Amino acid sequence: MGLFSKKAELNTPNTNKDQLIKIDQVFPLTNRSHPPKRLRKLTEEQFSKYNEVLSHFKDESLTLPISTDPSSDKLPLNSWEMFWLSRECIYRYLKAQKWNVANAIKALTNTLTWRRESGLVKGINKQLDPNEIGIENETGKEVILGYDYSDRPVFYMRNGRQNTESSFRQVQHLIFMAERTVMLCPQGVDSMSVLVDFKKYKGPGIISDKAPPVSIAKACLGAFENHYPERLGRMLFTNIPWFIWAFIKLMYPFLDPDTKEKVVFDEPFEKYVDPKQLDSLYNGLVDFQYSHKLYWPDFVEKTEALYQKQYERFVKFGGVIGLSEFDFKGDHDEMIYPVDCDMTKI
Amino acid sequence: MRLISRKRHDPTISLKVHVVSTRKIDFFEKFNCNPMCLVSTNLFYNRKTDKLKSSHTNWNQILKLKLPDDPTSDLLRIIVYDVLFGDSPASSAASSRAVLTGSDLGQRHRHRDVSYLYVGEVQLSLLELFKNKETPHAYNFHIPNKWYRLYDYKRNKNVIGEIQLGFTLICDLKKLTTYEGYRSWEHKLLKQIAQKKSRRMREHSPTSNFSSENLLLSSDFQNFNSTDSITNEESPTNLEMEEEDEDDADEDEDDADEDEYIDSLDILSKVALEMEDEGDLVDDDNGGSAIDLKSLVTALDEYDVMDDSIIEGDTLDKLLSLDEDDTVVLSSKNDPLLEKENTRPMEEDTGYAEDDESDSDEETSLENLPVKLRENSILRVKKRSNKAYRQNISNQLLTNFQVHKKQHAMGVAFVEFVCISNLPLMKKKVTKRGFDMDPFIVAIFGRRVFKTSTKKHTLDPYFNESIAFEVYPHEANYNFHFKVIDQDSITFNDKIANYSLSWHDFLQKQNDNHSWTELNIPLNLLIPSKNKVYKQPILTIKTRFIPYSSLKNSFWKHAVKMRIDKESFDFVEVILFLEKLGSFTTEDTLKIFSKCKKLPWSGDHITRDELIESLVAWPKTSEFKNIWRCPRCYRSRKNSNNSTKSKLMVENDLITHFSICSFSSSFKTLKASYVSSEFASKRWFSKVLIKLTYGRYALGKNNANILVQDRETGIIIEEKISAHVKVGMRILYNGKGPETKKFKRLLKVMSIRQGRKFDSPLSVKQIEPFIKFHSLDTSECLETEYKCFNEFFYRKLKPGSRTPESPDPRVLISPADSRCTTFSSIQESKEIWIKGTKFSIGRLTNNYEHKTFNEWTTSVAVFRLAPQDYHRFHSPCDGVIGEPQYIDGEYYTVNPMAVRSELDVFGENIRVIIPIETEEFGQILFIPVGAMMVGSIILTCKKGDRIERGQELGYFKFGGSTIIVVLQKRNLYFDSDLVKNSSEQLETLVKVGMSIGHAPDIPELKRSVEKLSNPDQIRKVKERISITDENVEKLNDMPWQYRTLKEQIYDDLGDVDVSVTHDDTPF
Repeated sequence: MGLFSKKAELNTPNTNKDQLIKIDQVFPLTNRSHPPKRLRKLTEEQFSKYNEVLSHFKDESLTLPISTDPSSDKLPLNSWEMFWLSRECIYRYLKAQKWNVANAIKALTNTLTWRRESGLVKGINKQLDPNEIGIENETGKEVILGYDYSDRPVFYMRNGRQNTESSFRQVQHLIFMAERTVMLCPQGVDSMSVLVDFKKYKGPGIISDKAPPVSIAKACLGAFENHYPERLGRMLFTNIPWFIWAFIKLMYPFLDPDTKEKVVFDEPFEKYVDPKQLDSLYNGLVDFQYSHKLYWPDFVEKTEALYQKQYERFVKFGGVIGLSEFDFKGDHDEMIYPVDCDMTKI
Repeated sequence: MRLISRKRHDPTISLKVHVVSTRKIDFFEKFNCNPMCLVSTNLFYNRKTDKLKSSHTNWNQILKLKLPDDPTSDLLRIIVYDVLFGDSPASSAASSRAVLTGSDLGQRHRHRDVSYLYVGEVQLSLLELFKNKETPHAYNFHIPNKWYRLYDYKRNKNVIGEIQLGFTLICDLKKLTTYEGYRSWEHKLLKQIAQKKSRRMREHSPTSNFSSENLLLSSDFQNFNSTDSITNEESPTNLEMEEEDEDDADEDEDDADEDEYIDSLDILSKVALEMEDEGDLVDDDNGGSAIDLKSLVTALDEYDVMDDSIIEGDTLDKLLSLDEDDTVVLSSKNDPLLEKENTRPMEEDTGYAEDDESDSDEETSLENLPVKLRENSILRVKKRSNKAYRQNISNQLLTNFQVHKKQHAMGVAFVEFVCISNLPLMKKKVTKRGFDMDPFIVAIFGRRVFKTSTKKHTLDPYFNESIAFEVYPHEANYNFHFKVIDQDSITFNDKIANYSLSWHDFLQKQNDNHSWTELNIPLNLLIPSKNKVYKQPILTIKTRFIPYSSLKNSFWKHAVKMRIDKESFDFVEVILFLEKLGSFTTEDTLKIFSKCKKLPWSGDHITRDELIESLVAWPKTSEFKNIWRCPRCYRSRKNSNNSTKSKLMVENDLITHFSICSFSSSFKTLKASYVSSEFASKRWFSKVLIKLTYGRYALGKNNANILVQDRETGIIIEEKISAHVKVGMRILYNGKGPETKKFKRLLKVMSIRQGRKFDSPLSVKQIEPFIKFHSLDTSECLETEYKCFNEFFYRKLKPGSRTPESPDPRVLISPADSRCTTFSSIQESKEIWIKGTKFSIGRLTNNYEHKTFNEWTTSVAVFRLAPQDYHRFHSPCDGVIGEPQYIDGEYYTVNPMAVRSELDVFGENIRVIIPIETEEFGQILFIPVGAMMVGSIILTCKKGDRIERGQELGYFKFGGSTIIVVLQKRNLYFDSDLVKNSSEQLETLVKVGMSIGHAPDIPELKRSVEKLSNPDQIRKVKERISITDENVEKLNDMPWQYRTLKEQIYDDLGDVDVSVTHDDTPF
């Protein structure tokens, strides 16, 4: 098994107990290490493509079905969807589709209908209810805590803390968490850092320490791929069991170079996340004990408030498709990237 | 059983290797070791010595190694290992030893806590080993103990020491000398190598440079002692080893080529187990750790891959040439005994005929056509081994069930035998006192034969036994036959009554909701009514036919219920459920939801019914990978002994299996466990007798049980052969040398004399018993008075009783009432059916237009007539007759046993070749072949005649005989059912006028039984009616058509005196 065995455990000294910062709630990014990244310049070609997509969705007569069933009722885009259809959002879809306009429009349409069906759009269909979903997170199997060096929010996935049987609510929970993580992205950041911990935990409420069934994982990944493109900034794995490790080793040479860059296996997390932002379980300084009663309501409330605030700024800047997330998320009063701003010139 | 199956094996030869000791191995002298010696050849054939506990390598053991039946290499390796025990202190020594031997190449294979350290080996060629050095073509099968150099092939190929070895070759078959056994083995090996070489050459892969190096090996041995040229060692009895568990598994392994090592690794563990079973030399006293072949093999494989390259180069040519020389030497030695013995074992093993013939082929006619034959055999061997390998791989797949296949059954029929009432009283046969009846029912549908239990001493038996079987589309014309039989303990069983119910009627009686329908069937009594009036016995059955579509529904209902007991499913639950069934994608799940108009992502649920519905309608089957066992019985599909014997198609469709399976759990269900209805009604001791005297009672077997399938009903019929024919056959097959010649003469004389005898008026007496013996139907005969037996024999039938099935001239019709086999090429026919060694199209047709009629482009249909058949033959097509060519010859019998022996019955028998020029099929050769007891072939047509389809061409005088129709392959497609049966080595009973094949431009004639509806047709039939109702009663065995027709006519025309000819052709 020499081929597939891991490198010897890196034994970094445990951080001093009294340095630990006691935290039990989600916290926003306070002091940013570097100023928020401005939007990149586009080439002429890219810009014209962007405009093509934008004009497609700007069409007043555009209606979309309220669910993935194409025969269901059709509605025009509402303001929350317009808010979601930001400049960066269109960039992401274009980039994910390799700047193919037709594909990007198709993917965006798919996602819009999917969001309507999944209850992620306010005002259309039944919304995802945080109180219902909250049960899934009672053991804290999915937690958003801290930011990495690139100011991306860190999304901890610990499937060793599974507390429920596989169900649709689990999938909804994951979608809900992903959606909220995206909301927590600070200005100039539109991706997240996912930390996957395969460690088996023991504790009250934990009924299983196994990874979810492959088919569900596949379904979730598919949804992620289709509806959250370019949202993954970095993926960190830890405590990988040997069989997954063997699989990864085998697959590694065939991975896409971009993906390779994003994926990190069993490396010390301090390399990627500021210890002050990192859970002490992974040699960070944050002494985080998950308490559902404390974390969950606060998390829901904070993200909701953030969302509301961004939406208000969206309305303030005109409430149309193609406004920049950079503007919503900042605190400045003047619009930096108006809808008709020429991205080839800045 | 074993007695018979064992016969089939080839002569096996075993190699005894006497491993004595090693010397001059530094390694053993310096360290404390546990040496062990492994002898290995052909990868799977291994034996090992005990592990010794000290470095004094004195094994002094004799290892008996069976040589494979189909060897792939001649390399024999004697490998010395050091056994390391992981936890013992020796391990440290071992590691230091590994260091000492100079590299990390030291192969240590860990398994549990035992590993083997490779020390060195001796490689010998089995082809060279026994050759005598001084006299080049003499063999010495006992080589006394000698010192051989031990090489270390893993590291630096240096000599590391010496090992003392002795070899003895013995043959396991007592009647065979070692020399013969070895020769046949060597032959197989050379063929194998040649084949491999030809494959390599095709691939143009450069051979590795090992060949030259290792070539030296064989010459590296120290000199042998020269002893007598041929020492025939009788196998000593002290080393008895059971060789009988050498079964399929082993054979399969041999077929696996070197190229497929990975696949064969699995099997290895099996071998290991088997070796343990044999237990003779496998030693596991040390801590109980079994032989770790797997770890040993990793050390082995690279070398075995190499051996073909070893022999590949010049040596092969040398060996091949040597081989030919050998035969020459042998024959020049004038040792006829040896030569004869050489070919003999092959002839005796009839079961393994295929293998052996290729050998004897070469052996006998090597002088004539050495090159061509050799090529031929190479091709054949290659084909076979590939086939075997593929079978091996697909075997496991086959045992798995498939959920709804594309070509599936029409549905499943269930029949419950409830009771019979009013059986007739019968006197006891032996005591003639008292009345008794122990009835049982034999039910036949197509190839399936069911038998109920026997009810003792009753005239109104209650059975309450059920049968369930799949019905296929091609069986829709078949009838369901019931026979009521009285079981007698001493005398023959008596047939009491019978009935045949057509499938069509069976279906019509079904009601719409597929529930049970009760049928009361009036049985036809078969016992003679001696002034007694019996009550009509009535068989009560319940029937039920469920079509495939509703089976599918119920299957999925059950399958879903078994796995999940929810009523509705959300997105994830469906995903999870599908995951259990097989490999599905998320898209598949989404599709199910969209079909039901449900929204997966908003948490909609689909109901259980919707899920079942979508599973039933699932278009592909490949996804259901995880369902391969029946959800009820948890078994995978397995062929029963019977289903292989009667070539019953075992449906690997899970849906039909499930319905039968669940049915059998609640009813007492009978299995179709008989090959033919005759066999089902026999007592156990007659079955044993048949098995012992005739051979295995199974379809497609080459023995004296002649079983044919009736094309109309699908029933397997056992053919009756008169005793003298049986005797003749026996003498023919077993007779060798001068006796055969005598017998041939006798046969000819007898045939002619018999013919004369049957021509005399005295022979009239024999007609009646003949009719009885074969239970012939005389109603269709034109005349009723015969002057002599022969006249009856070539009786004419009433006009109109044999009309062509289809008016289309492009349909080729059967020329005779006969048992038919069809082959699309001569090659194929030789592989499957006509096994005569010398048979060829040229010999058959006497080289008639040999350019058109050659081995590859010619189709052949063989129509075998049995004595009871109508012996006139008719034209299969429209055309003009050419010059008939009479060929004198032998009078061999043409029954299947003879055709499939090495006698060339078709090439040597008396026959007439009639060319027919046709528009539709080009030139056809119509060859009536005379056979045992057939005095003469008489043609009623002459050259230049224009003939029509179905017109009489001539007739045979007494005896069985054959008609062969030869034509160009491209002009004709044979009917698929005939082709299928022929490939299963099963003859099909056809009648004159039935379709045999068709021209390529029209589709196959769909055979069907028509229901008569319009009065015109009925009148037509009435015109043919000639026998009265009483005759019908006498005949008893009337087809269902008669009854249905009668009923219909009653319905339509009122009470009319109606009867029908016994005519099986559809109206």
